[in-house]
Amino acid sequence: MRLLLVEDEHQLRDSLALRLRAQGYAVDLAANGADGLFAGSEYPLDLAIVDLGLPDIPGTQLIEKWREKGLTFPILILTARGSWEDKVAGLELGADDYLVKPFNTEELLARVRALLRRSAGWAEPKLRCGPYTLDTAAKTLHLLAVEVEITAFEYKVLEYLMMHAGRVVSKTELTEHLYEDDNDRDSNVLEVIIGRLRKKLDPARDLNPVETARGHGYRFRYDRAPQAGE
Amino acid sequence: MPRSLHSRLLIVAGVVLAAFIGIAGFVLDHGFRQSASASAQERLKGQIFMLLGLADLDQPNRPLGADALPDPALSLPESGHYLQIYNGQGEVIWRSRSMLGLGIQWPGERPAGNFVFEEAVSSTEERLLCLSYLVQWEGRGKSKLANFTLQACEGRGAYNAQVRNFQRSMWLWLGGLAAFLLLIQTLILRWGLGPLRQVATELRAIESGDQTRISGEYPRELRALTRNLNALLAARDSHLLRYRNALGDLAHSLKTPLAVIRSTLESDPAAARVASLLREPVEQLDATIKYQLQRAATAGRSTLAPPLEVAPVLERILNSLRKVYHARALAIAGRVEDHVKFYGDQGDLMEIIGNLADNACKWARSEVLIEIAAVVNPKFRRQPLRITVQDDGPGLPHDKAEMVLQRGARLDESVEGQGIGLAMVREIVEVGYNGELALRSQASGMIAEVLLRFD
Repeated sequence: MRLLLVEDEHQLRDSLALRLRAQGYAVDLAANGADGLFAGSEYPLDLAIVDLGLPDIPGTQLIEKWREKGLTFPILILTARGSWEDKVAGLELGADDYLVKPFNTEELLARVRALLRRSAGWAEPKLRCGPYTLDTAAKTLHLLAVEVEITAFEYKVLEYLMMHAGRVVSKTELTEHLYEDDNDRDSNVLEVIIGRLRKKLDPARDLNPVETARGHGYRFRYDRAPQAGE
Repeated sequence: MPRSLHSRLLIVAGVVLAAFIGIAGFVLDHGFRQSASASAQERLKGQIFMLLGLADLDQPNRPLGADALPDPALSLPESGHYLQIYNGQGEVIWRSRSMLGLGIQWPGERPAGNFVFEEAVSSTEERLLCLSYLVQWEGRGKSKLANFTLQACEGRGAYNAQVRNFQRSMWLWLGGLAAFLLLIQTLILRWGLGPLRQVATELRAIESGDQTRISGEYPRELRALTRNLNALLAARDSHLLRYRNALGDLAHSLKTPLAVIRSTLESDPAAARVASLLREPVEQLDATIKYQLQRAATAGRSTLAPPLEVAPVLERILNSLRKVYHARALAIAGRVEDHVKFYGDQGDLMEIIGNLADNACKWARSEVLIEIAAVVNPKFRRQPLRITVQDDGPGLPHDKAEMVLQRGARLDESVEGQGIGLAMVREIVEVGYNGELALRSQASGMIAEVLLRFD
C-alpha cells in the first residue's frame, strides 16, 4: 500500500514515516502543499495523510484540487485547531476522516488501516477470501485455522492482492503501490516473492490462490467471503 | 423600559399646550368679566346721573313723578332695571315703578361722593348688580346737609349670559386651536424623528440578515452614529476571522510540537519508560491548549449577527459524522423543525452540535439521535434553542455526570476526547449563550441536553 504524508513539521513527518514504513507501507513525503499536490497527482496512491496547517496552501485547498482532478484515494486529515468548522469543511471537500493533533500514533495507524480497507470495499479488519484470513491489524495470515508464517514483504504483496481479490493486478501496479522509489523496482524480485507466497499459501498444491494472468499480472482467485452484516 | 422619544416629546408638548391654553383661557375670561362689569357700572352710573338730574331732592317726600322716567324698562315691574332713593335714615323715599312689590336692602352709610358697586339680592331672590351713590344735599332754607343715597340696580342675568356666551365661544376656539397644534406637533415629530425610525428599521433588517450595513442617507446629527455602526459591523466580521486565524496558527504551532513529542516517544521502544512518565503531562498540555483555545474562539450570541438556519448546519455535521463513523454502521439521525434559527456564530453552533454528537457516536451501540427545537416562549424576542443528543450506549453513572463536565476530566481513557469535548461545550453554552448543559443517564443510554438563550 502506498501512502502520501503531507506535513510541514519535519520531525513529525519523519517519525510518522518511520512508523508507517514499519507497518509495511510505501510512504511518499511532502513538506508543503505544492509538493503534496504534485505527489498526489503523479503517484498511484492508496491513501494520503494531510496536515491542514500547511505553510503555502491550506490543506483544504489541496484536498479540493485533488478531488477536482478526479483522484479518489482516501484522505485522512490532521488538524491542530480541531474546530468542527475545519473538520466539516475538510470532510465536505473530500477528506474521509480526521485526527486532531497531538494524536496517538496507534490511533493513526488504525484509521489508516480502516480507510484502506474501506476504499477497497472491506468493512472488517480481517480479510476473508476462501479458506484464507488476513488480519490487517495483527498482520497475520491463517489458512483455515492454521497460522501461516510470512515475511513482512510477502505480507505487503498478499495484502494488496487480497484487498483487490478477484481483480487482475498488473506487475507495474503492484510495484508502484509497494515501492516508494523507482530504483527499487525489479520485477524479478516480485516474481520470486509470488513464487514463495504460492508455496506457503498452497502447501498441498491444490488451492492455487494466486493465478497468473499471462501478460497482465496476478489475480487472487478466491472472492471475498460474505461479511457480517452483508 | 423607558418611554419612547416620540411619546416623551408628545407628552411634554401636550402638557405645555394644556397649561398654555388653560392660562390663556383664565386670563381672557378674567379680562372679559372685568370689562363686562365695567360696562355694567357705566350703564348704572348713567342711570344714577339721569336720576340725579330729574329728582327734586328739595321735596324729600315726592322727589320725582312716577312717570318722569324716559326708560320704559324702569316702569315695567320686575324688568331687571331698578332705581331707588333712600334718605339718610335708610328709608326708601322713592322707587321706580319696575320695583313694584320688590325690596332691596339699604346698602348702608357710605362716604359721600363715591360710587359703590356691589352685588345684592332682592326680596324675590333676584341676584342684582347695584351701584349706589350718596349725595349731601344743601336744601333751600336749611342749614343742615341732608344725606340721600341713590341706587341703580340691574339683574345679573344679562351679565351672566354675556359671560357664558363669551366663555363658550372662547373655549371652542381654544380647544380647536389646541387640537390643531397637537396635530401639527405630531406631524413635526413624525418628520423630525423619521431618521431615527429609519435607523431602527435598518437595524432590524441587519438583525434579520436582510442587509449587511446601514445604507440610508442620514442628517448630520445621526451620521456619526451610522458611520461608526457600519465600521463596527465591518470590523466585527473581519476581526473575528483574523482572530480565529491567529488562534488556528497558535494551535498549529503549539500542538505540532506536542504531536512530535508524542510520536517520538511512541516510536522509540527505548523510550518506553520516559514515554509512560510523559504521557500524562503531554495529555494535560493538550487538553489545556484545546480548552483555552476553544474558550478564546467562542464568539457568543450577537445581536447584530444575521440569524443562522440550523437545519443546514446540522445536516453538514450529520454527513461528516456518517462519513467518519461509516465503519460502525451507526444510525445517526437528526430532527429539526424548519426555519429554526440560531442567533450567534456558526463556529459556536458547530462546536456544540459536533462535540455532543461525536461524543454520542463514540459511546452509541447503534443509534444516535439529535433533536433541535425552538423553545416557544413569548417572553423572549428571540426564541431559545434546545438541542438534545441521545445515544443508546452504556450511559453514565449519575455521580459521574458532573465530573465529566469538569474541565479535562476523562472517565475512560480508551475513548479519545471524552470529557474535554463536553467541558468545552459547557463553556460555550454557559459563557457564550447564557445557557445550560445537562447530562442524563438512563437505561437506554445517555441524553445530553443544551439550552441556548439569545436575548
